[in-house]
Amino acid sequence: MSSPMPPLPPDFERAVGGAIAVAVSTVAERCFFACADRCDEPDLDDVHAEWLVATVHFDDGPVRGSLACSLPSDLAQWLFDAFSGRDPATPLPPRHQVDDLVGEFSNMVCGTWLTRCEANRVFRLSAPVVSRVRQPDSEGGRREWVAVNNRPVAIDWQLAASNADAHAVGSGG
Amino acid sequence: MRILIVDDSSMMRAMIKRVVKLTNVPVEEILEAGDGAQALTLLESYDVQLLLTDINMPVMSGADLLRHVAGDDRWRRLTRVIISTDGSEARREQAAELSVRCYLQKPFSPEVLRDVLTDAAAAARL
Repeated sequence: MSSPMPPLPPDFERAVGGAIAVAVSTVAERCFFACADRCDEPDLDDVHAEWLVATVHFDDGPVRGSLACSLPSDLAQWLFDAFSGRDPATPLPPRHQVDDLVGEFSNMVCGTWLTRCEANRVFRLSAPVVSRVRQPDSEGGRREWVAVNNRPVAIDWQLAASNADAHAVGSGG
Repeated sequence: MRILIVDDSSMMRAMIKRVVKLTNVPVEEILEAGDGAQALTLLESYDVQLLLTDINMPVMSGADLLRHVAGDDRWRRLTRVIISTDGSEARREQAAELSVRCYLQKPFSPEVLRDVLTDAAAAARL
């Protein structure tokens, strides 16, 4: 990101958070037959699972930044089964396939969010990068929590934009 | 009919393939590519009637692939469909200039994909 990141107005930040939650809900319902709603931050010590973190960077247009979806591994497996039609009684899929699926989930959330916000701009998404961690770390960015089938998903996002563009993006959510 | 699916996600390719098999579209073969460059290699080697491509991919994007296809007379009868997370109006206008028959935005339900495939396959057989 080459341009400095000005502080975002509180209204804008709330609007972006809402738009991200809508994007997660759209992806969860259309592709995974799952329900999603905004939720409070959970007690991470209660989530006894490894987390998968899929990060997508985007540029072009007035907005540049990144979006990362962090999912507990059991939810990632559930989404994999819903997407692929895998019978849960069959052997577990290879790890790289679950990682690919979580990457695609994040890609769709990011694309849906950006399209809703900036329908008249072409944007470019990077290939998702997927890692596995004990607990998701927000690394100083902004975070939204969404419950997908009652399991927590953290959406971390960072933006670089001019103030005028930032307001325009917020209005699209 | 021979179909080429181009997407850098193997899971998305598998999902599209599964839906193709659920339609009544008569398919001789389904080819897969992970980026635009691989797709061009396959198009050079096989007689493909229907191309389903993502936009954001490494090595060569779907937009660049479609520009190559549009600029080569060998593929003038190839039916082209975009399946992408990028649903912007600007991208759709670009697609129309590249003779893309249908633009399907991810996420989509399998039913919507089935309808698009059926329509595109009918066009490809003409």
